[in-house]
Amino acid sequence: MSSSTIATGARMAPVAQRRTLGVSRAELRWLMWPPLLFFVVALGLPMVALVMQSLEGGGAAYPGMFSVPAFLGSLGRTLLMALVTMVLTSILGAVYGLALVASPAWLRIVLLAALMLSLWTSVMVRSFGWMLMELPKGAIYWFLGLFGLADEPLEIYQTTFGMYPAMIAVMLPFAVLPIMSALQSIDQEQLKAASVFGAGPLLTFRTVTWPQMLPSIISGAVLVFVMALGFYVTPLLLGGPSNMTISGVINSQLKTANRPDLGAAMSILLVGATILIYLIADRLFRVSEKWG
Amino acid sequence: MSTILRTRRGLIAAVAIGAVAALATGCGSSASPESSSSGGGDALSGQVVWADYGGPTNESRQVAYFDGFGEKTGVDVVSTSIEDSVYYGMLEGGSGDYDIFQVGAAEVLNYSGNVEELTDAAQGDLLPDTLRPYMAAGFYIGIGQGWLTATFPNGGPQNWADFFDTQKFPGKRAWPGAPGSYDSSYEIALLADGVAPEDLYPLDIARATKKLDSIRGDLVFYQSYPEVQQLLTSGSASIAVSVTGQFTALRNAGQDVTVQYNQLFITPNGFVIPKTSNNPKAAMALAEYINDPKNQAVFAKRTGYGPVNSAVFDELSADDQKNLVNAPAHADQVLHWDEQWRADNKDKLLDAYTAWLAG
Repeated sequence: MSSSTIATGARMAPVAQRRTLGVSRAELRWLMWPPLLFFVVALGLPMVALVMQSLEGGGAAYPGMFSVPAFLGSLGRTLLMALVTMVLTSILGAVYGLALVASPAWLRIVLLAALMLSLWTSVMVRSFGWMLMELPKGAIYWFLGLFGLADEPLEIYQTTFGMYPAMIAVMLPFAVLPIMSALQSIDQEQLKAASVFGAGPLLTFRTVTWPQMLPSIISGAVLVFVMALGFYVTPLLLGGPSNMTISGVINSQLKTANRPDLGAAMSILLVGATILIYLIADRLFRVSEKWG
Repeated sequence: MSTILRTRRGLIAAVAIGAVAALATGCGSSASPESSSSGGGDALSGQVVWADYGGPTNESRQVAYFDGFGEKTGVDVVSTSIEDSVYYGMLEGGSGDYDIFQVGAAEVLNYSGNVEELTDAAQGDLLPDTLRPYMAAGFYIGIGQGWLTATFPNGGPQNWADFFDTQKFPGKRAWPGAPGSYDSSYEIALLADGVAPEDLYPLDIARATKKLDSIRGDLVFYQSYPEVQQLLTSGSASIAVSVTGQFTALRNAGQDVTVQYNQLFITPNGFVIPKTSNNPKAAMALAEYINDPKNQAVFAKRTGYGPVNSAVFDELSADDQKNLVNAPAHADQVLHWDEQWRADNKDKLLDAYTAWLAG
């Protein structure tokens, strides 16, 4: 897909393309090989292997996966979980993005550093950190105890309520970064013009800022949703086994049950659903254009 | 496809292991088992690739077994972290790079056709007859309830019915929460519901699930065993159901822990030599070395895991034996799984437990 886009782009404006990149069209074609090769090896081969694994039992794995009692429930739960995470992360991400742009320089650095530090820390480590906080007698309990507010052990660890803050924290950078870049690229002249013509902050936000940040909110939301479909460690640790995701069921099929064909079939269903959802979102909101 | 994946995996692992071996032996000879034709201990050569779950248990093996075996025979034991997909492939008769690897009783029973039969000197006399010819380097683990002694100053739960009594023994219970950890869960629930130990099998999963539901709100689930220590020491759980090794670890860290041996389940774990092993002769010699009571006593003392060889108890003082799960002193308290029934019903147990966990 990416090759045809570049090819048509080159055909439509061959001269401009050559000038901006400083390479000829032949060289351009050459340059496409390394990334293409990388994706064939890193994505294509494992996918082919997965499909063949799932067909090992003559295709029986596809109807067979529905006979695993936890499968359908966890599939529905995963979709709902991804949806809730997407909505909450997008709202918080929009607020965070606005705060980043509107705040004074020192605060902006602090906010950005916090976001980056979170992005650079492994999901496992962050999830364990949340676990230590949420334990019935964990850090939150200790903190509340300092003010005499906690006498009973807390009941947030391994509940659905205790799971979402951590999941939003894990996903937040992916929502904030596109919004931040959209806000930064807003033409300052437009804001000035709005205020010259007498618009208050609310009207300026509604007519100038909001329309320009909405596309990036949507593309961030799609990214978060697609990534949240693969959540495994965080909901398992903080939501408890009642919040088992489809990845958890796949893992148990592959690792414990020794039924790799069932696990592979489930994986393909998950990948297929993810691609389908992305294609629909792309069709509706033109997400990929915003990432280009 | 599995062949593609396994070959690739095997290749990577082989390169890695080869590199390690070259470093360890200073590029010494890597003779194949066929090349050493004559029998006898001095014919052993090359290396044994040993796959287990690492950690302090592996360290103890290094001290108790591998160092001495290397000095005696010149064979290097190379430890590696066990991968499920590799060992399942080998159990099914495929090739792989392990010469000897860790398994539970269910795997031995399900795949005994593809593993080497042990020589008499390598067989542990405390193992059940069905496992004895195949399970090498065995050790007994226990699964039961334990708590920090200070939690219940007047004495804690005496049995599984007490464990379910949250009025009498308040607090959360740390409970295995990974789909594969149906270890003892159904057995525990049925015992608490009044089923006699000898009537446990075949397990009444529906009845057990109902009993488990009654306590679900009082459970804190853990995904990996070491979390148990965190849950107990932080006071987040007052009682834990776990492998006894975690209680031993807490004790080694200076905590005062009580383990309830009444109705504690003991089950053998051990190693198998796959028929596709690259160095079966050296692996067998290692298994024999490990079965030597003197060597096994060192391991039991360090880890608290019970021996599979009755002569080991002669090597240990009464004090050393106190915390061993299969010590003669605990013999009339502990219970055994029906390993064969569990092996036959592995998928059913896993599916049912996963579904219960997912609620």
